[in-house]
Amino acid sequence: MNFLNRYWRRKMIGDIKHQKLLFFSIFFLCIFGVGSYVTLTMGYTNLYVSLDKIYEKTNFADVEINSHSDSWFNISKVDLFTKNYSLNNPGFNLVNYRLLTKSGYNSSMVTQENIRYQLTEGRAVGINWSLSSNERINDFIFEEGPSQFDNNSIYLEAHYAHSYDLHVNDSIQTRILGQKFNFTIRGIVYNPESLLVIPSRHDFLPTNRFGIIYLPLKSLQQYTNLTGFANNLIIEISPHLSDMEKESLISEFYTQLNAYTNNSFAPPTFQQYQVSNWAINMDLEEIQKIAIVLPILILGVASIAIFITLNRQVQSQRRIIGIASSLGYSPLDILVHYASFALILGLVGSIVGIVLGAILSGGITWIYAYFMNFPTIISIEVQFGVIFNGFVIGTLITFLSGVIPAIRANRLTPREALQGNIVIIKGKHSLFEKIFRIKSFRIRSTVPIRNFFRQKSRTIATVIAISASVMILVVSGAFNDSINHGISQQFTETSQYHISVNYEGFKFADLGLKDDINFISQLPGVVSVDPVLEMPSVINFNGKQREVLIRAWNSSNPSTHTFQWTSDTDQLLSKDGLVLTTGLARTLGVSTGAVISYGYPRIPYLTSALRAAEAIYNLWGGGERGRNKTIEYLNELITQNQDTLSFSREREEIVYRNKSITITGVTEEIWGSIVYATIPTLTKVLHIDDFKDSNISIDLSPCSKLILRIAEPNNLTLLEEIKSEISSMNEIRSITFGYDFQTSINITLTAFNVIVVIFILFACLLAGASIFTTIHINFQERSRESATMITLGLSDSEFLFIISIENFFQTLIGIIIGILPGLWLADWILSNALRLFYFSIKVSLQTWIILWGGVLLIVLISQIPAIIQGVKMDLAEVTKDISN
Amino acid sequence: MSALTLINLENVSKDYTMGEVEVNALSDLSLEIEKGKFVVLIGPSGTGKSTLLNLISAIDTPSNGRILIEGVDITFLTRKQRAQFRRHKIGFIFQFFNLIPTLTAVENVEFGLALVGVTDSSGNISYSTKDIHSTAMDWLDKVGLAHRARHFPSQMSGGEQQRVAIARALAKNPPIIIADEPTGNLDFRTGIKILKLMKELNKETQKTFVIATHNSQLAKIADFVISLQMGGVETYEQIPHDDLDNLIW
Ligand SMILES: Nc1ncnc2c1ncn2[C@@H]1O[C@H](COP(=O)(O)OP(=O)(O)O)[C@@H](O)[C@H]1O
Ligand SMILES: [Mg+2]
Repeated sequence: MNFLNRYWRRKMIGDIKHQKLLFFSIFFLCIFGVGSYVTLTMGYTNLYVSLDKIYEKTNFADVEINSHSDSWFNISKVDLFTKNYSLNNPGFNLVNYRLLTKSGYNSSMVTQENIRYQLTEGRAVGINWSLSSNERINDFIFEEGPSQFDNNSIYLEAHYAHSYDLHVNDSIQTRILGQKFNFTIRGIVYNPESLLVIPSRHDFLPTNRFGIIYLPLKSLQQYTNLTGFANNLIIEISPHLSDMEKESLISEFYTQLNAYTNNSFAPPTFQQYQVSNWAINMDLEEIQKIAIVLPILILGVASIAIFITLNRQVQSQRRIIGIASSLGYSPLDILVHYASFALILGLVGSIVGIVLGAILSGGITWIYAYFMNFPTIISIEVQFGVIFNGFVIGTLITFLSGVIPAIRANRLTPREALQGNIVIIKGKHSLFEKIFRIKSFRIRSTVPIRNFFRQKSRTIATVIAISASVMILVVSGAFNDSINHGISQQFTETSQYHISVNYEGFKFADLGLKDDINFISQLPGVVSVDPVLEMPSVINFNGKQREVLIRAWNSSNPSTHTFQWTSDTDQLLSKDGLVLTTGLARTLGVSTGAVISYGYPRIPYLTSALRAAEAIYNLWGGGERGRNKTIEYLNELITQNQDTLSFSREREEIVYRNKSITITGVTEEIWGSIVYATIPTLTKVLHIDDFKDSNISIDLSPCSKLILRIAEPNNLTLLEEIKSEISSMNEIRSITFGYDFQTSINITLTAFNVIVVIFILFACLLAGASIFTTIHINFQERSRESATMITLGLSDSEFLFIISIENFFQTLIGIIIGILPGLWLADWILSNALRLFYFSIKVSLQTWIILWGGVLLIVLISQIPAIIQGVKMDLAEVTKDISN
Repeated sequence: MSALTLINLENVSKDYTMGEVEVNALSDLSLEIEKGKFVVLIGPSGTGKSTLLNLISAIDTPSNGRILIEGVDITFLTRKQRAQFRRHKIGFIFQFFNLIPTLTAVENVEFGLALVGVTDSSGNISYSTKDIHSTAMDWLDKVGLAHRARHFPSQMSGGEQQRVAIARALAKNPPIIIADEPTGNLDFRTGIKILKLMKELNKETQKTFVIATHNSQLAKIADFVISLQMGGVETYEQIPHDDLDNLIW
């Protein structure tokens, strides 16, 4: 192979020595492009692998079966059945019985001003403490502990512990069914069913303030007077069975179990629908869009930069190619030289990139896991697909960047190749040049303008490299700004929500709600109170379907919410119609005026209760007396059947009925799955308003939470006082502050933010490197021309001016061209990547300044090494140097 | 040093260090060149011709000795002062022409002129683009290329390019024209034409031309010959051979 020929080998080493910085930059670009692709892609995919590891280690249940809400089963009776069933069905490995109850905690939190107490809700899980670890399903990963366990001990779920800074041996004030306990924490644990803490499938956001405690089944049975009973079955099935076999085994089990227990059990929940796992997979899938797109983008921009730089570097050797071919080297010899040269550069760069990338990917996985609040069990799996892609792309691009110009130079005759100018400058004046017609000659303007238009390939290469770099900078800047802007607008201009009071179930207007509102309204500091009804729904348009939460306000003009309408005709009607958020409208392709179908939950118990109430009214002969008796009846009914009279979030399955409705407005908000309506609109479809309009005239408008606007929302003492007043009211499930809600949104967005920040860092580095190589080669290509000018007596500062002004204009154009695709790409990713949120594209002034200033600064800095080289230039040599 | 002396070298040496090795390109050279002369510097390759020209034109500095141009010592000028010196005192003609490829023929001449401005008969310097343009056009006309003014270097032959370079060098009206192997990259006939042009311009403008060439035949056309040989330097004045068309090399 001619590559081994001494002359060529020397030449190659000589080239590299001569242009150290340039080769270092190309090498860096290759390592960086391939490396970041491998790091980010593998870092992300390893999250899945790590998740599997966690599930395997904790023996995550294949399926979960609950008894109907507010009912329990006798463990020994059911155990008899399951033992029997597993004898006949060998794939049926293990069953654990657990008791789950609601619980509440009074936890303290140190804020800047003082210590705040929060009444938070949660769940207590009783598990059979005597099981050995291989008999236990949904086992723990200990973050702290375990330590000595006694009667008063519990384990606490880690997310909650982090939120309130709780540790082993701290105590936690707990309420279970109204009774107060002071437990001692003996372990801080992760559990596979709460890697993301979402109380139920109908909850809107994960929350780290939902406390889950684990304690011995026997103790919890004692506290709840349910000795011998449980309400939850978790099952592990042999891993050797296929998904189909598992499913049929379970449905068979479920049918038989329900027959045996007289229909005590709700349908089974399979692992993939288990709420935490379901949400994680959904999140991972969403992040996937950017976790995969962004590294490809980085690799793409790096490839462009490599191609431009190396291509020009080889082009600048046309004379050498000419000499070599006139010396008698065959075109093949020359090609082999450049091919092997580029191949080595690409191979080494890609391999180093892959090795570094694989090592760093562990760190990236760790960062993702850390910010998603997963236990950081990181497992790194070498992904050959990713490595292969990185390797092939990195090597191929570098290879082609070296070979293509060599092939082109090879096509020239030695005489042509020996001719001085790299680009044969055509005589014709281009249109642009005519526009910028040079009437009079001035060194400072004519030379740069001529260069700009005459060295077209240089101008184009520079503009492309800069615009590609600007594009990724815009993408990353736009992400950051859009999220910040969206959140800040939502919480300052759109929602004036400072305290939210959440009811256990429905609270009906004439059955206590009005009293509650009156009570709260007169509390000092409270500006307004808006009753809100929230219900899960599914909306359909043109075959596209989305699970949403309908938030219904009491009036079409709520005092705690300012809609950000997107058109003049937009409004929330008081009796009919839905309002969508921008994100939903965009994903469904809906605009104001469209008719969509939406599902409203069926609450059969409510319907029959209302019928009974009507009968009572008639029984008592109507009138005032009939009305009072009816209210009395309804009040009692509600206290006893809270869960069944509303759509309980504890219930997994909701049956919907569909109805068509008009979209009357689109509001620009960050929520990706919230739909607005009014309570009258919903009561109409739920047939609750019949009661109000009939002669019974009881207003049964339901509400599930109250939203409060406070005079001084930053006055925490005032908020605490209001909260403690409200805590004394009945049927309150929890009271949250807008401030805390905003925090939990920020937490939910952290995984996304982390990716964005990592991407910003990578984008800046890459942009810097590619701009540097481009500007650097701009100098290198013209060293002879520069030397001539300086020899003729051009001063250093004038020389610098000419070059800088030319780079400056190329940069300017590059920036302008890069901005639009950057914005477009950012918008595409932002509107596709997140399920819960939608951020419309926004770029702040600050970002624009940093972008323009930063890029121009990089250009200036990139000039420095070349300028130093220029100043040190041996004029005598360079004016003759034939390679330039 | 006589009143006519333009260039004066006193015991000038130039050493290059290449790694460990010291290369002595010129040693202890003293000579004087008078104003208006057509000087040819001859000698085989590697005898230091280019080195000498670089020293005279302040592209490079001597290791020892001193150089006076118009009686001014240029040996210890700063980088900036040397650029100023080259700008005003030296016109360059290169072996590879070194026109700026992105500028047209007339713009290349204007480039040189713009550095120093145009001096009229009463000694006023004008930087007006109009004056610069008309002077550049005059010079292109003098070298016979007025019709090629708007052409780019790549559209011109080597000889034409070198004429533009000559116009560029002379337009700024410097006292010294330095040309290192100006015909080295041209064919015989074109080379002759270029030399003829330079001779004519030397007569007309009374500028001092210092031309280096490895072709000893060219010594015939000089008023003053500097012959650098491996052994040392020899200088002599002569009546130049004017019939360039019959020059053989
Ligand atoms: N930049 C340099 N570095 C090292 N040696 C040089 C350099 N320039 C010239 N030389 C050496 O100095 C000597 C004279 O070179 P030069 O002036 O170019 O000769 P000529 O122009 O007569 O061919 C040669 O031996 C050459 O190798
Ligand atoms: Mg020489």
